[in-house]
Amino acid sequence: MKHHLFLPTFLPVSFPDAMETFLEDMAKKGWFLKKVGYFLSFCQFEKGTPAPVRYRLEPVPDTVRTPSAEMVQFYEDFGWKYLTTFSHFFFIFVAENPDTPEIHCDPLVQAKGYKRMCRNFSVFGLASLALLAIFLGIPLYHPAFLLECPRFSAFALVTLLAFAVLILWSVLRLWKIYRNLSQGKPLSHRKGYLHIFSLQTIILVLLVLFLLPFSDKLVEWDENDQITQALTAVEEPLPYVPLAEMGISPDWVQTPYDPITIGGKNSDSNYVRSRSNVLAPATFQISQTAYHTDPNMPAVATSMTSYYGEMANSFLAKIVGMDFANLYADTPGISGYKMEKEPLSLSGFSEAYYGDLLGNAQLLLLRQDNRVLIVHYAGDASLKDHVEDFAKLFTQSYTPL
Amino acid sequence: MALAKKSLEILTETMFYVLMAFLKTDMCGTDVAAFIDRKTKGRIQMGPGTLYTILAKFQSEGLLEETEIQGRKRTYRITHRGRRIYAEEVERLRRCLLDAEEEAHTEL
Repeated sequence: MKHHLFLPTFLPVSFPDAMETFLEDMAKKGWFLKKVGYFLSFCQFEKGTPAPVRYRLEPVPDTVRTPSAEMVQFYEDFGWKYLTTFSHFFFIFVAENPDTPEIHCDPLVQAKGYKRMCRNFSVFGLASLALLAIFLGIPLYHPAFLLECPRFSAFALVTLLAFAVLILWSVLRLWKIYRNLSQGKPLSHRKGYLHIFSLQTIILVLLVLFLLPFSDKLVEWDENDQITQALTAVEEPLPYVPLAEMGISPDWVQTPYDPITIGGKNSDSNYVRSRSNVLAPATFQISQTAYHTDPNMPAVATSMTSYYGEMANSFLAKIVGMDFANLYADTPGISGYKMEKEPLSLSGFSEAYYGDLLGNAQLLLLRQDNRVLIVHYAGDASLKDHVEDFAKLFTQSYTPL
Repeated sequence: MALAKKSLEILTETMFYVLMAFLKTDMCGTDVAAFIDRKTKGRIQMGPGTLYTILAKFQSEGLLEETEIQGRKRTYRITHRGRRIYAEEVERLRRCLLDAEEEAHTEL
């Protein structure tokens, strides 16, 4: 019974010379290639008597998966036997006789096959890079996510960047092979592969970890960084203006908990969420809600949600401020609504504006260097009348919970 | 046709010898390789990849045409266009050689 060995090669297609060297080294140890799987390039080897056979990778001439019978016969007449196909890009041939002439003796002619392959691989590479760019662009589109999930964001960015570098490296290497062949330089059939194996293995491990629950674990750790407490339980100063100071009607009541219970449990309706990390040393999300005492009225009478952040730098404060303002200005049921910003004249602030959200709510944004405050208010008072109260919040620093 | 001609503007040494192989008789791939090996006294050892590519290219450019298919083996013959391209290349090489010899005599 013949022994079999299954080995993932993890070799990118832009290293045909490394793949040939690897296969020949395996043959010298008595392991002969039988087949290459499509997924992760799993190679199936069969045990035999060690022999110095030669393997050569030939670019696939078009979109076929296997060579034509005519091509197989043609190569066989010269002593080269077709074995299998490597990914969509190469046919693998083997010669057992050391006197068999090389498959190619003219680099300029060989370059034609690589040119076609370079174009096809470049299309594949560009499509992959475009997809990666979309994922890499998420932090730019939603920078607050970086602050809420810093560990997961860092891990995802590193993994995606590593992939992007690998793809770009592969595309460039293939074009380099083509350029050398076009200049009459023959292709080398010997190349070290261990460092390529190691690099590709690391990147694949990163990807597997990314897909596995490990990334969920990172999100869980990020979420555990956030501390939530009822407002009434916090004694330290917090960056918010109490709802009562905005003018609260005697018809309302501001309770620590939501009178509309969900699942029999009271949930906090006046609370603070605080988090601290290297990108944002202190952030606070404060929610305040007051309810109607008249049960015939809608339950929520007035509410105010604010986000206050002390960032690592002013650029972060700017983009995070924009992100939260867009989030708070998002009007359910009305797509494409663009809130009109009314600039406020406020000395000492890099940015200050007010916005009216279709008469249903109001928004205020204040930014000073690396600190930003965004307030969303739904009630009878006007945020414009209390701008000075919110501006005063910037006169002191706050310690995260 | 102009595009095809532009594609063949550069005839490499191996391409030249492949055309030469078909001057006197129809041939299949292994016969061509054997002819070139004999003609160049082993200097050019034609590989299947190079030959397969050249034969396919010459066929698509109209320099060769298929005459016979026996199982998986194909036989080709050179066309008028192929002979013309070959003759032009011989003339070009002859002029190169004359220029080189003239230059060598001038130096002396």
